Amino acid sequence: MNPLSRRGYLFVVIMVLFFTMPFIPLVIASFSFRWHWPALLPTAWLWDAPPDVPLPVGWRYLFSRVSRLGPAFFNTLVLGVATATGALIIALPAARVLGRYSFPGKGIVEFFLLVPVIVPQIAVGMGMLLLLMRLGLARTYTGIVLAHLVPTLPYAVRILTSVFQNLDPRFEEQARTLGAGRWRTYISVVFPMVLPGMTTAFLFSFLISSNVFLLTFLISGGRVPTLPTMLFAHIESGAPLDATTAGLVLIVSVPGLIFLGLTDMLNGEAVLPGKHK
Amino acid sequence: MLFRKGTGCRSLWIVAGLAPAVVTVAVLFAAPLIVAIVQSLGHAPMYGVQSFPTLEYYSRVMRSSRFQISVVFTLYYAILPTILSTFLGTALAIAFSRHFPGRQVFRFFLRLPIVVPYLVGAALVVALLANGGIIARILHALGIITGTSDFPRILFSSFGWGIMLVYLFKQIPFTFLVISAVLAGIGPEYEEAARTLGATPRQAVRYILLPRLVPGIVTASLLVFAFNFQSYEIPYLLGSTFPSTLPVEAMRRFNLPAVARRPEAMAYVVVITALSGIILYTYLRAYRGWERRRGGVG
Repeated sequence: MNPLSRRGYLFVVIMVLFFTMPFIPLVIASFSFRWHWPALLPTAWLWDAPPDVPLPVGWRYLFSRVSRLGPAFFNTLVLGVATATGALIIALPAARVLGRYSFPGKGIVEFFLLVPVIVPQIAVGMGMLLLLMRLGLARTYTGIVLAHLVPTLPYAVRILTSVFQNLDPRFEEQARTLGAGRWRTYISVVFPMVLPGMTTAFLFSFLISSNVFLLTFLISGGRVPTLPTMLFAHIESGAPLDATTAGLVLIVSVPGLIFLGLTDMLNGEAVLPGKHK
Repeated sequence: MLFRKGTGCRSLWIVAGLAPAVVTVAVLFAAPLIVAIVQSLGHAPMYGVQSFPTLEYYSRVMRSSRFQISVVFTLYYAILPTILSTFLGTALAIAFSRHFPGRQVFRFFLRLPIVVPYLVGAALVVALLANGGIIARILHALGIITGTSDFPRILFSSFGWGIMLVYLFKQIPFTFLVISAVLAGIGPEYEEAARTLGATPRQAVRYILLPRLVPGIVTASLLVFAFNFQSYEIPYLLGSTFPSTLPVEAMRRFNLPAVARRPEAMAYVVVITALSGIILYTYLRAYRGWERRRGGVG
């Protein structure tokens, strides 16, 4: 690998600072009790505040029952797991076909399954709300999960398709030759080989679902708070460097951080199936 | 006979495998679009609108100056960050294909913005650039400004700096990741061969590496533009009230207490979808034409 030039290095450092520095004031703000203009640091910290203050701020507010952070966190988790499970179940058979076989019209099917990514969510969301209202599913978990499938399914199909493309069918043939039945082959040979890819697809689908704002906002009508809708409400009404919004931003970033850590662990094991060079 | 039976069985497998995904996408994404189109054409009995088929709502929407100005600003907020993030993200990916100290740590930080919601970007931009934000405070500490009102209005202005910064915050890392994957697939061999044959580093990037990155660059910029053009929450939170973007205008009409005006909102979202589709299609056509004239990667 060639070394990077000094100008290139400077560019990289500036970019990394652009992406990391903005988090610093928010971390500080989340521990502030009072931070008046034009102080560069909070004028009173959270631990300086009296414990019986009538309106708790920052972490104290977020972790009190008034904030409703618990339900929002729970909803985000349930919706994410349900969406990711649904996306995986629906995408798996299609990905197997797309990764294994060639057939007339394959290009069209692949395109059709990717289109939801580029079609405006606002159009899908408004139309879907009206349909779900007819079915009595607006403002329900089921309705929101159905909406979240729109942006997640294309990615699940895409990730799983490449998993099956990299999976050498000769492993299955060998298992069959050695006397394993269809199910036995699937459980003992195919499943362990596609498991890392399935985990990635699940995590990625969960991540997309936990980051969706507009679809949740439209379908839930504010009745099912999630972390993104809660953050939206706080940004809309809060002052800059508001301690509660700052803390919420850090909490909302947690699923993403876990995702990064987990995918790094998965890739670190280097158990990518079928990649025998 | 045996052969035909085999293929028949296989095509059944193919159809059965694809059916769940194709049906789900058709129902979840095509059906809502059809609902939006039908309503925008005047069929909304639950709101007491029954003038199907009429183009009245489209003409009402498209003739208003508010709409026309919104189109211009939506395009501006979408295209400028797309160009910048494509350029900077590609440059970053190429830089990360080189060796330098701290590469792994920097890579982790660069992937962080991809995995957080756009709203996190919005909160960061507000904390930095609002009139009482950190940058204003730093300028005050340096004696450059005396009060919050001296600080230039960066957010909520029609220039859209705040909107575009959030897009860049999310999309430079996204482009970086897409192009990095393409670079990993290409491998260092071509560039090394070019260098061995006497190309300067700059020439090797310009004539050997970049042409091979074009498909990835087109994909990344296409996805970025498609997102920016339809984004609602970022222009709503960080843009000006007027002019605003098409999705913000659409939501405003959708949320009006006068539900009889909902077909107008539907006309808006149909127009957003159509415009986005036309632009993406033209872009892809132009790219395909360019690729054909060039005769593929040599």
